[in-house]
Amino acid sequence: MTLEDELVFYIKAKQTAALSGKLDGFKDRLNLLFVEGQLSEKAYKILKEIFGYEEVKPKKVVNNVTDGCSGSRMTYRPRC
Amino acid sequence: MKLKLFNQYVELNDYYCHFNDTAGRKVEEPYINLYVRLTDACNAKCKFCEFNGDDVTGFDKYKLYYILYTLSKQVRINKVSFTGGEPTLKLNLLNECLKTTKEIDPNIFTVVNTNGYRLDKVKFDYVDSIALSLHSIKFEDNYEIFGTEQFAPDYSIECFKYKEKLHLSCNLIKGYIDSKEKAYEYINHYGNLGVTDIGFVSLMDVNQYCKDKMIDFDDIKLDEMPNTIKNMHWSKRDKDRTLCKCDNFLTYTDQGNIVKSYARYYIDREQCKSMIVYDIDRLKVGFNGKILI
Repeated sequence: MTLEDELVFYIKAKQTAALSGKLDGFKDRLNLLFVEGQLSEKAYKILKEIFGYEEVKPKKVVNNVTDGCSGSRMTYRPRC
Repeated sequence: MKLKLFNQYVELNDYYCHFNDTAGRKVEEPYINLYVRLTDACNAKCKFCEFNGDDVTGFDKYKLYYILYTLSKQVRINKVSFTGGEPTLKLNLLNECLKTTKEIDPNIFTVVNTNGYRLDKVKFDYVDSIALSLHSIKFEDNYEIFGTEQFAPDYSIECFKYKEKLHLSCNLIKGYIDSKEKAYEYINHYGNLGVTDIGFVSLMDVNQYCKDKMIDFDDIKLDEMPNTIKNMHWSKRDKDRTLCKCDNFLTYTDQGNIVKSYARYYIDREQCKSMIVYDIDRLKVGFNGKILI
């Protein structure tokens, strides 16, 4: 997955949410995905500029975490 | 690495999973994941599951508490998953065990694996994640798979108060969710009900039904689902053999809700180290390994 893929994904997701009238919560979702390490730091910085969102400081360095899996909010925990 | 637990040596993970084809990082602090089987009994009769018998043996909760306390002094308990059978059949016991686990160590991540039978009665204050089994978006499919209508209906998911703790677990089964199109429909359906976390799991090779109905997620190319990016890949290897693999995806629904999902295939679950099982009244290495106490 390239940085471009990642950016296009979030921009299209936001457009879709806007068209459905479901933009409430999109910002929080984006921030949570960043904190969980699902969204790369590079993409996050660009997206918050594009969308005009303020930055959220994650409690830990999450980019390129190697000890977690997605799901169950277990970013910092090995699933297996 | 090996650690002596209850006078026997147990192998634990030395390295975390390989991440995006880079070698896994070394485990600094040894950890275990504990599965607690509260009961053999289940209200469902899933053909892919070994654990749907009768509730014959009594669960020894005091032994579990002793084990949890003792283990917590020796090794990091990363996660405790309560499973069965169906753990909510033993609701009071489940809630008491959850509470005691958090009292012993509040940092333990607690999971309840359930088909949703008495989901609303679980004490969520002591639960970090609910892994809720649903294997289709259609009532009739789930009815056929579970062999009962006692599973979580859509309205209970939509109204569920603790959605941030909710994780849906969907087995990939031929004839049900068996293609990227159906997997996307599943994500879209439950994502629009507010679910943000879904796992697709290939059936483990435990019986003929699983052999006949098994779908390897690599074959159905989930990364080609609409509105999806594959953002992570994990694997566990032993020399030249892959033991387990996971792909992680992000998908947005037709309402713009972003759902994270993973697809996992345990090729040999017994080779997964760091997994300890408290099976009703005995502590074992893995689900079928040696008895520790």
